[in-house]
Amino acid sequence: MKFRGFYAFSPGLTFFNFFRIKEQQTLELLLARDQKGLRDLYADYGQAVYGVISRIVKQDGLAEEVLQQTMLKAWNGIGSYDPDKSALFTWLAAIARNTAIDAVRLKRYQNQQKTDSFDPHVHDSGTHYDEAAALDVQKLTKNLDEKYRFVLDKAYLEGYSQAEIADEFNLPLGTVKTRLRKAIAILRDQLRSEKSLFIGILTTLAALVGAIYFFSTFG
Amino acid sequence: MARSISEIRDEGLLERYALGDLGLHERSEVEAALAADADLRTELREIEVALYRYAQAHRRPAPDAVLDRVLADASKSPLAAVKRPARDRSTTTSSGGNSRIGTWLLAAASLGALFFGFYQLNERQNDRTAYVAQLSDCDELAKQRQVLLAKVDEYEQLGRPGTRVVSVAATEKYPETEIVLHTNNATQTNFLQLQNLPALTDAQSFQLWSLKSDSDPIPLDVFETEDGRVFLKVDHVDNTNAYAITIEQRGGAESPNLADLIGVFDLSAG
Repeated sequence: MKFRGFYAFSPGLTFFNFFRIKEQQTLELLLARDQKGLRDLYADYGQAVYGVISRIVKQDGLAEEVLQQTMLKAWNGIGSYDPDKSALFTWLAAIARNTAIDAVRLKRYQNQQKTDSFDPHVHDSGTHYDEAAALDVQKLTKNLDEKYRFVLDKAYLEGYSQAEIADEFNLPLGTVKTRLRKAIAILRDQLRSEKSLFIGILTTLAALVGAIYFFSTFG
Repeated sequence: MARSISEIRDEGLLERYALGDLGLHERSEVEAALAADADLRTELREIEVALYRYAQAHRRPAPDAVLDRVLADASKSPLAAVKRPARDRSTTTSSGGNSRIGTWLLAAASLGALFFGFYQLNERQNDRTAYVAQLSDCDELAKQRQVLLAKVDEYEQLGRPGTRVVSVAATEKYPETEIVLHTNNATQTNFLQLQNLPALTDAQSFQLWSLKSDSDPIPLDVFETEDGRVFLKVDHVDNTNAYAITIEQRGGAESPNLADLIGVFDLSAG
């Protein structure tokens, strides 16, 4: 079975498939029911997944519960993960998103039954950036217009479907689809630029080293 | 009828697939296309990486306590290992084994990674500088906002019921100066509006005085102006009969210099 693998945060390193190998190792540990796999999964993707969950549930306590459920679902359901169909993070993020949305719906229903008020916006727990994350966001979004970033945040970080975005924010569905594709295309372009830069540096150095080797051997 | 590869691309189904926003039928179509087309798989990979980076940029520190609970729960429900066909590892790495060329290439790759790392670090530093500057701008804007809100509050007080407007002529020495007092006995607030004030030297300031019938003049605000106009809130002083404005030495004085009296305005007037 081919293993698609997954690329690193720094696109330059993807050239060596370091993280593709890392993801494969994590998967094999999980399949072998080795808890190191679970630790590695949490270490590699826990923060990103927690960020997504926090934006959907908007309550720290509930976000932690959902994160716990997500990781357990991944552990228990790893047999159903098909690396040909998606990267491990994509699969994990989908579990997280669905679990978070279900948790919000359940909480809302339970509170309606108790006639307690539940305001999912009581505490915005999704915006506690540290400086490093703030810089990452700034770097990634500098070429991203606000209108594209808005739909991308709603769809990817907050679990809205395109139809829900169109409905709730009074946008034509076609506009939502177009902006989402454009947002992702911009992020991909950025990735390609960084990759090209790295490859350029590497090629130059490889040529230099190759020349040194040639002259030292045959010169 | 199943969509073609180009239809799947053009309709944005790859992006929606990566976002998990497809129904069962469309998902099956995309998966069938992915199984058949390597370029499509590469494209999906790029989309997934781009989205992962976006999620990673919006990360939150994951609590260690959650991991502890997950591990504890995982221990309670041990499952048999899941069998998968072994992957052909011969295609995974590019380390080159015992080849000298491979060693040189690995060295080149390591240097490349180092250079790229330095480049990224430099970019990061530039981003950090810009970020700090933006934070400083935000702080500055917040301060300006507070100042403006205070001004708005002052202007709103001018319109409160009971506010009297007292317009006073300046002294003969400064006939151009206009003095208007907005005074409200109920709220005990006074605002002084001055225009065409005379130019000062660097050693001078304007000073406001509270005049009472049974005491010496009480020094109040000391101020300067660049455009000859001032709007300021005047502290309420009990039993003040009138206010006076004079020109004093820079920083103010203990008693008024009547030779440079700009105006006196009686609170009982108007």
